[in-house]
Amino acid sequence: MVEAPGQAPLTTGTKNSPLRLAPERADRLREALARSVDERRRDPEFRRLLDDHRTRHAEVLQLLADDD
Amino acid sequence: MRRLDLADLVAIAAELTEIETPKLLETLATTPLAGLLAEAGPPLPPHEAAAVLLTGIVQLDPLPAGTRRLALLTALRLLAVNGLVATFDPRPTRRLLGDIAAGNTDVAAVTAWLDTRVTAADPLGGALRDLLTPDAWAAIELAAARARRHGRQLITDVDLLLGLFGQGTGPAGQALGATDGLEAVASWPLRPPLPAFEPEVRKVLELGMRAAVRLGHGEINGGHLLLGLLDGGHRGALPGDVDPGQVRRRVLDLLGPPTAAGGEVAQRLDRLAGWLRATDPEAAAELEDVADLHRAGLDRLV
Repeated sequence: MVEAPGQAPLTTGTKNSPLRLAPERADRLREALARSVDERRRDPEFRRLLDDHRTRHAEVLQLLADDD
Repeated sequence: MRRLDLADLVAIAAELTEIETPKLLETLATTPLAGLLAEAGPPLPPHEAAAVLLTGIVQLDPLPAGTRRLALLTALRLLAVNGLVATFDPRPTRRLLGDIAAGNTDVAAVTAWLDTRVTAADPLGGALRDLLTPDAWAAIELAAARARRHGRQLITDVDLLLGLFGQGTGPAGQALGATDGLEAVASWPLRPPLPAFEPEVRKVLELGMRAAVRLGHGEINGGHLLLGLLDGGHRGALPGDVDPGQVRRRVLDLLGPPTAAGGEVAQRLDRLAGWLRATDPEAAAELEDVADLHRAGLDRLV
């Protein structure tokens, strides 16, 4: 489905141009993305890698956090 | 090679900021981030794709605080899912990220910086491990057997070269002039516990993966590992009467021509959209949207 004439494109899109998705499809996409993000955060392998990287690179991450 | 999708990046951002996902999605500029993720894949090998993410995320500066940590952790995740690790010195890394933020360093410079710091993980993991073909595993097993025989804890470049030669029937063995493989290999169970690899050999394995990705091959066979040895400057491991240039030409011939890499579906959809545009612009626009979703790895969400 494409946007109606005069309708502002949604910025839930990809690449360099915004998607011309209809609002209801854009909402579905955003909800699906939120679900996917939450699933990823509960994924043990995702957590294992993130914890491993935080441990291995603790010093540089701390330096960067101090800069923030 | 594996890519990251937008969910990976947003999940890392959520972990860093402790902001709830819906709120984070309202504040994050997902469009340029998705574009960046689409760029960070084949035909770029993992270390170049990681440089694209590191540079691009810092330049986009999507978070009020924590952007540079997000960039670093996202690049590390891309490397990790591809079976690679990076070694960073804290202060030079902080300087590099500061230079990127100030616009003094570009993707090419970051790629060169990562080039010397990225190797295969040990033990092998991720896409690198999954993409190794039986002939590559057999060569690694032969290399491990030689290391054990010599009472060494680590597999060296010479062990790997002789493993590739000893395997015999794969592209590497053929390019090196082997006439047949060691019979024992066929009866060995695949993937036994291996001795660890010398750091130089972990680099060779990463270079082998680079060669496979650049050629658009969906696997890493012994021929790619041999290219990794040659690209890593391990020509000294070859017998004196063997011309490394000739070995390279032979192995490239045996590996076959480069093939289409990732994004093939998106390219086909773009071509279809081009044909349709004159007669059905709405359908063409929708096809372009779907192509964009494929590039961003979001096609499974709709």
